[in-house]
Amino acid sequence: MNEIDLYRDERPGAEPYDPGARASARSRLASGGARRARRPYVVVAAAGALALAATFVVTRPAQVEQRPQVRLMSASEVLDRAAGAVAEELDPRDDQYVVVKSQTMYGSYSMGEKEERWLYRTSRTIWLRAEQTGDAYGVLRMELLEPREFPGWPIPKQAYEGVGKPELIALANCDGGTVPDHLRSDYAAIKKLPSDAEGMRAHLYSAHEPNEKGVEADQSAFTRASDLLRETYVPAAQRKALYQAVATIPGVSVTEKVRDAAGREGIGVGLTTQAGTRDDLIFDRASFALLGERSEVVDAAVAGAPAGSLLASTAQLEVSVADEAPEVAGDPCRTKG
Amino acid sequence: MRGPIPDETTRPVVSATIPAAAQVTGDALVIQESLADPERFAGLFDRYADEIHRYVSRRLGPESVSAADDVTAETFLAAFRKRARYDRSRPDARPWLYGMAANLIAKHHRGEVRRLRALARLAEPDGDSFEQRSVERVSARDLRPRLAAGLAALSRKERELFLLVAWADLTYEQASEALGIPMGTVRSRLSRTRAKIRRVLGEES
Repeated sequence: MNEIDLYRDERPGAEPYDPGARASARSRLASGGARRARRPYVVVAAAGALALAATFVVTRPAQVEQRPQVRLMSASEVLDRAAGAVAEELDPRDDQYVVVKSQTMYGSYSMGEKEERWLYRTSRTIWLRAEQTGDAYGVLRMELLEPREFPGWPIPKQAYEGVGKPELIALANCDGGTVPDHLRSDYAAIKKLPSDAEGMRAHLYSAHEPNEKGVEADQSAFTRASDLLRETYVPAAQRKALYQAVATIPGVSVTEKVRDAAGREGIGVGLTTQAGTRDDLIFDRASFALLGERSEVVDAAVAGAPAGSLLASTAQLEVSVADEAPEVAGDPCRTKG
Repeated sequence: MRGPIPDETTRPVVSATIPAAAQVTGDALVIQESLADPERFAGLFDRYADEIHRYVSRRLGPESVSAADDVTAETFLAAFRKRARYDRSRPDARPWLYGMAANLIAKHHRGEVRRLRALARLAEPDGDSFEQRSVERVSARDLRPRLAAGLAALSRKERELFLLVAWADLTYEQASEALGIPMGTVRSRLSRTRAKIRRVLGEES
């Protein structure tokens, strides 16, 4: 007998899909679908908070950057400088925390009774265990800042809920699953990544998903590089390899004169994505240290916003090491479904 | 200047052009419309959520119901986020969705193997009485121990492909699409997988 038929005939029973879980998955899809980060801690909201007066609405669309510049550096030049940049290096032990302070802006999409979009902004500090073993892997302190307008969409009331009220959130992996090694981005995993450009490049490309080929694989490699740099500490050897590897990704180019979420000016290095945006890592012009990230619309039809508008903007402000993270009361895995 | 790229995961670059509107049909049309009107995407969920959940639930086992719920939810969230990149010349979105589900199931790889081995141990003749009792309890719904032993012997990639064909009823072509591997690799990997399973089942009988 064919082994495939054997297993087909002996298929184990499937558990029924709980209607509550199903409905919640469907509505999560509707409400949080397009949020950028994967981890639950970015989930904003928290109902019941005092809604600020709507007079605060920022009607100015996200600013359009100017491109032309005098002396242009190529992407590989910028990345080469970044690879060689001297920085204050850290050496966290596995039981310590990497602490990163940042400011972020990402799109929020809500599709309840009425579709709403806005750009939510946060000021945040994250404590991530250098070695993320077990369920609890860190703590996030997050404060929502005034939202911005998603071009063409009035800012809804709910965008103001929780603004100005810092929250402390325990970060935990509650599903018991393990992230495959090639997708980990905790310090213990990062410090074991290849310290040569070739090896790092292979690592970046190993992150791509099924179905992705050609330019999609290139975009995934760039995304993986960004994931490794976001709210992390990458040791000097791996950082050098990483920047050198990014320089070999086809399509990576420079955006002159951009600003990070904190208003610091820098040089962007990135590529256009099939989501209709151009995504950049931002580097300081003098020190070539990483400042943050940005995502700007280049294809209005695909992105659903005018070309030139900014849909994501971050600034990484400070990276340090700490022995402890703030205490958060309660079991982070308690709230379920 | 391009560095080494994992062989099995690359496919020849296919033209990235988007087909004319007239050719976009089926799920592809729903996905295309969801770009302008995100709510349309729920249509895809309604169509396939139960099927994907069944597959995930079989893979993760009856004791991981909430993990199966999470993986299903995340599969559709990932699909929603990546919908702009969907190859709209393909009217059937199932392979795409299964590919994403497979990726998420892979995060539970260690647990899956542990579970399969535990099930497989129930087939051993000198299993103690507790395990014998478990056999009876477990066998009604779960995978038979011998078959679990066969699956436990496979690599993650082999198991993924084999079960997409056997349990999700994907054709070779759809499995190739789901996992982003060439047809030749699908055929050779499956025949290697079947041989492995045959060997394990032979040993045990």
